[in-house]
Amino acid sequence: MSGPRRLAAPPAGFGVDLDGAEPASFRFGGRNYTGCYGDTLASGLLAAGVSVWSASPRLGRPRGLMGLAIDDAALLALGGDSGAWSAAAADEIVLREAMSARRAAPAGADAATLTGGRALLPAARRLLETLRRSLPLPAPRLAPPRPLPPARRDACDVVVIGAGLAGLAAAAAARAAGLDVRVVEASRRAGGVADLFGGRIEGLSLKAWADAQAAALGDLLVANATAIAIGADGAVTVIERTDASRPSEVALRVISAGAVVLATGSRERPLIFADNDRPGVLLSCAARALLRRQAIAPGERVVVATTSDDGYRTAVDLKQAGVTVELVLDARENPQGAAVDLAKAQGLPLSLFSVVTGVDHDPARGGLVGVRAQNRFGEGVSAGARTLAADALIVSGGFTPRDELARRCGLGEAQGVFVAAGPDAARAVAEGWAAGTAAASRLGAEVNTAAPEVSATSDEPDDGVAGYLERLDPAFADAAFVDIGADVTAADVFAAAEAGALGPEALARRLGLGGGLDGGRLSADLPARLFATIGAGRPPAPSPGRPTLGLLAARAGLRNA
Amino acid sequence: MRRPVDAARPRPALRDAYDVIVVGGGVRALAIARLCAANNASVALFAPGEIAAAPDERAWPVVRSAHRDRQRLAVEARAPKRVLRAISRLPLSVPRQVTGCLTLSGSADGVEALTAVAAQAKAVRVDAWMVPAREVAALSPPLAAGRGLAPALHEQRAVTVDVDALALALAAAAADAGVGLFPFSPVATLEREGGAVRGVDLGDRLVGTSAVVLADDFAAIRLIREGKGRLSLKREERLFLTTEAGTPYIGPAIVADDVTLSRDPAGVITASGPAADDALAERLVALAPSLSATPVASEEPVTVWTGVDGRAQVGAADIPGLWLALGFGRDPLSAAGPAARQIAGLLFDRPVDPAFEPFAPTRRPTVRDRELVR
Repeated sequence: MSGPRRLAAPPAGFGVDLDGAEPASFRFGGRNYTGCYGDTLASGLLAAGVSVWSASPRLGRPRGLMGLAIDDAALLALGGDSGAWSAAAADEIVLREAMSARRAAPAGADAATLTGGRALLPAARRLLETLRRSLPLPAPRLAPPRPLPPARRDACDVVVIGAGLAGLAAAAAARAAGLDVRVVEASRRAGGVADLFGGRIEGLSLKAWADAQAAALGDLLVANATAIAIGADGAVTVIERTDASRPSEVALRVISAGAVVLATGSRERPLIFADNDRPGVLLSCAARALLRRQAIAPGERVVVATTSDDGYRTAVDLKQAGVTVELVLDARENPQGAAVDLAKAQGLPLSLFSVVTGVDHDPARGGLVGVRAQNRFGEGVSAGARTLAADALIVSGGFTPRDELARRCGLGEAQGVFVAAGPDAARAVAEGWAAGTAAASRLGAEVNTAAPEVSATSDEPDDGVAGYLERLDPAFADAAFVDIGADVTAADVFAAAEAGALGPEALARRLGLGGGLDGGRLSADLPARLFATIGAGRPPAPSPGRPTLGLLAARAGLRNA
Repeated sequence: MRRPVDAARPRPALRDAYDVIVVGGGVRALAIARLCAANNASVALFAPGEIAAAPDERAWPVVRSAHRDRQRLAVEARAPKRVLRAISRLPLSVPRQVTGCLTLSGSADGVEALTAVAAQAKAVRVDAWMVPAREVAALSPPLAAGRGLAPALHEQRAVTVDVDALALALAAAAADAGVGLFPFSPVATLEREGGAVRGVDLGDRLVGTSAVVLADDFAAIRLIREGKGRLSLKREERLFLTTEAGTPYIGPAIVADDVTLSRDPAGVITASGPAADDALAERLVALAPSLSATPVASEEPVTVWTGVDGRAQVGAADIPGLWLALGFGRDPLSAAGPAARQIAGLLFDRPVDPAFEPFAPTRRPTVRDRELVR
């Protein structure tokens, strides 16, 4: 069998979240599956060999897990849930016995009433509306009005957004100064991706240090809470999922604080090539997280395509877990980082200066069967086009800061908003500590403790997606996605630019960038890179999370109270 | 490798002089530039930012006739019909829908005022009439759940347009007609000689012309007021929000006091209202409770400008060689077509609409106005 599967006998260090062999059965799309306690819905589905989870909103292409938790675009909803926030990343839903899940409906699905609940195609919906305007059809059934979601106000000295290493270090610094701190974390767990990287802080592993810090924070750490906006007055609007087993139940919290630390970390860039949205194409961090946390292998024969050192870390992990790594393709000419040396020492097959140009997939099964690759430069024979047999492709386009909140609020240190964004553990902790110290000194408090000592290696600079954009074949640009969640391809961008859309914002609106369930977060940096190559300026930041009208009205009630 | 965009339309070269220079980048400015080019004039359009629908046009993408202002009603009576015809001739497709428009009344004298508008509309043959509360509920499903519906003014032929697509199609048509389109080219000052305008200064370059049309309120205010001129415009800060695509059917576009609500063919609801914190969302949820679960995709501030007497300024300014199309308030899209025809008519000695006289920038307060002020 090929495709994703659970390792039969995971070596030590893999499957650390799994709770023995305690089975948990669940339903997805009307069928029964069995996972383990310690699984998330994502790992449970992949362990059962289900890699196609949903269809894309505009083109109806099969989609599955691609990115890590809060950035992923293939969202699911639990049975019985409805509403805008019922759609949750499958990696954020902890598997429970008798759980039932389905694909999350796009926003317009509740418009379907005459068709027995099925979403209408846009053309059919438009026809129905035209008829409705001229014929006395029965009135459409609308969602019954619900009471406004609960809202409350909260105040503290420093609010830290993000509970990764940087956020936890910032919170530790502010607490060392004796300040009242809140840490808001969008995902269900603190520590971010600390368990996926090597290194030590104060003698502990990154994960152990993060867990200790999170435990020390206790109730001050608010998990499952997404900061969606920072007001002009510095108040942070947070949408909390109050009940972890019912993602659709949300409450609003507006936190006023003397200082805000933005420690939202980085997200991994996908790569751009033909069919880069197929199930089986997985970001490097997501693949490593599934492997280490729930012992899920992405496939049997795996190709790794990278422009950064992170792909090598995943390749080494895969080899240790007993998965065949067919080839590691690096777009860079001469990478020299520590992770690369380790991969070489392990004898992983390496191909430098080469890129993936497309994947072959099996429509019947939904998985990959091959990966097309070629040299970064050269034409014809010297391009060295080749097809590698593989059932999964791990991609890593380097890391880009999650800066949408900072860009959207437009506030800086003068207004009490401090940014901590380090690309690796050492810099994350150092910048987090510095931001916490700066926030404290703004409030007149002093930090007398020394910053935690970190020993971790740094990555070499990544190459972004430049090599992939150079090699993008115009003939296949209509399957090379720049916004995977909203189904926007490179061909769409070229066509809109050719039609004469003048200006980045107008171009982004015309393309519908960020219109998917992920708000454009999964592939946030790809549109910016492609816009830059065609001289179209910088597109707007992706959405950090979408409030509903009801949530905004609830916030209005809070201000009036 | 050949990039598909290498084949894109080449950027126009900036010439030393044009017959007409249009300042602004929205639908209004594009419509004026295109009509001027159709009169065989050489035209350049300098936009302060991108060439795309302006925020005030996106906030209320509806073309309608039944305004409360009797004079606007007179000049825009044919606007919806004409915009449909204009769109059908554009080189790119523009999604649009004859949705109609419901003007709700807040109170009893609101109903009376709307009845008067309906009578005026009938006089200029606009399909607008008062509908009873029961019919309002039938026309507009989300309002049905709201309490206390009153009779409302229903204009059947109002059109909702995808205004971004309209701006893009107009830009393509203007470029085909030979208009030089220059985005991100703010005009620094107006060059004047003996009082008359003879060109514009782009900061690094002078471009000569005998006619400058100002079709962007903020750019006009910078150019005129900072040149110590008077422009009699007042500003209002508003907010508009758009929802995700695919929202349920809402029937006609809705005007309720200072809140407007429309839904385009792709199912994106656009609502605009007062700028105060979240007041718009609160008003919308009170108006149509079933919308409260709708996800909001974007919130943007928008500044709308109106003449100090509440009326737009369309026509020749006091300064020779300067023409204005400014101050359309919350309803800028309905006025774009009529104003463009009027400006082009004045510039090229074509027949003009006498109903535009009250909108001439050179108008002075009437005796009656002065008495009202006193």
